[in-house]
Amino acid sequence: MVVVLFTITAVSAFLVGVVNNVTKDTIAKTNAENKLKALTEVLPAFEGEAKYVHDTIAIEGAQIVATRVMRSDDTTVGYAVETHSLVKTGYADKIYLMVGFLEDGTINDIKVLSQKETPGLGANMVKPGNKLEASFKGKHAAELVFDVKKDNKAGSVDALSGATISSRAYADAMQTAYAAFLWTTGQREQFEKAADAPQQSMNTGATKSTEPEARKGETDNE
Amino acid sequence: MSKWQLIVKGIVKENPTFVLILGMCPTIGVTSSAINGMGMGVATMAVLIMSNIVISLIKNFIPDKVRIPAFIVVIASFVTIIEMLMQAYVPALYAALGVFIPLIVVNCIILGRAEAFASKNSALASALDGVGIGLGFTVSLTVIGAVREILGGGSIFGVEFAADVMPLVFILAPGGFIVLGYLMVLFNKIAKR
Repeated sequence: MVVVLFTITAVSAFLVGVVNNVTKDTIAKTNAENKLKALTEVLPAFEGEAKYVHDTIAIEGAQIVATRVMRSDDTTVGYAVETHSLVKTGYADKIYLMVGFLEDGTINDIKVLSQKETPGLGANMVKPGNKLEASFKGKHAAELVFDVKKDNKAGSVDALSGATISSRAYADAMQTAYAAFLWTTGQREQFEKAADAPQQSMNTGATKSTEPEARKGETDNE
Repeated sequence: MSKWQLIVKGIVKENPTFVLILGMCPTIGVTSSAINGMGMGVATMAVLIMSNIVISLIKNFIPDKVRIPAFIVVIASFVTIIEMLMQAYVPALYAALGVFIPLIVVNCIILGRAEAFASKNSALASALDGVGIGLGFTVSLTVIGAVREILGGGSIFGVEFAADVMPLVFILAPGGFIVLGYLMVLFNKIAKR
């Protein structure tokens, strides 16, 4: 009895291990390809070969990757920032976004890389043209207040119906992306300003968080 | 029982959702839209057919006393392997069904059928039982998902016709229970005729 159960467990574990070894490279490759695809999709299309300069920025302990995309003649197309929610997590997990900025700070497009929000509610953030995306897309990031309207009357973010928590996390990820954009384009003064802006706390503004959530950045390629 | 009857009984007489009342957790969780219900149903059916066959083939080697842990280990490894293979070689399918796969491991329909059917019947009969129960589960989840999506989101299979005016509660879990309850009554009333 013990021997049979042990054999079954051992064989199962062995098979799972073998399959994991066989598939993990392919899975990593697919994920990398998806990221590259999202990276090109959030920026305007252009002819010819693209050049990429990656910049890793530490914001509140997280590593945010901002990629400068250039045409073959070294003119900049824009910046794609791979970001995720930091202060406010989503309903189930962090929300990962790819955000495309033009050089002047206009948000060109946003792609949701991964989210585990409730289908039919928070998961609506992946639908093209949803209220959240519309709150940011085509807008100039410097003019936006990265707060959900329900929490902060001055906020620029329309929450998805029934999904305020998901919307907060999304707005938070966007704010992180903008901070990373400011840092990578060398706008340090605005970076400090954007980073030190007081934020609403998690509890619908009922309690203010006590410490200012300072975002200090460091780049590793300077 | 003929092969045809094996399939049909899974849809009507032993419908896993409305009659056996198995797998309620994923049922409430994923049926917030018709397409999600269908995705979960199809993914479960695929795993159920395969796990029924495997269990049926190894049933004679497993001592009675440890059969449940043995089944769980076999099913869990099996689902993990399918998930990894899908993610690696059919990423498009994984993008659509991937979120449901880990949920299937804890779906009691799989273990229920392994215990109640596959451990006593031939591999072929077990496969057909998997097809029947799987279809029953898929149809039930799609119907619940469709009703909830229409009532709560004003859309069907993602096509919106009255978005933002419908009562959101039907997308949330309480609405799921209400819809499930009424559909269960309706189903059993019709099925008993």
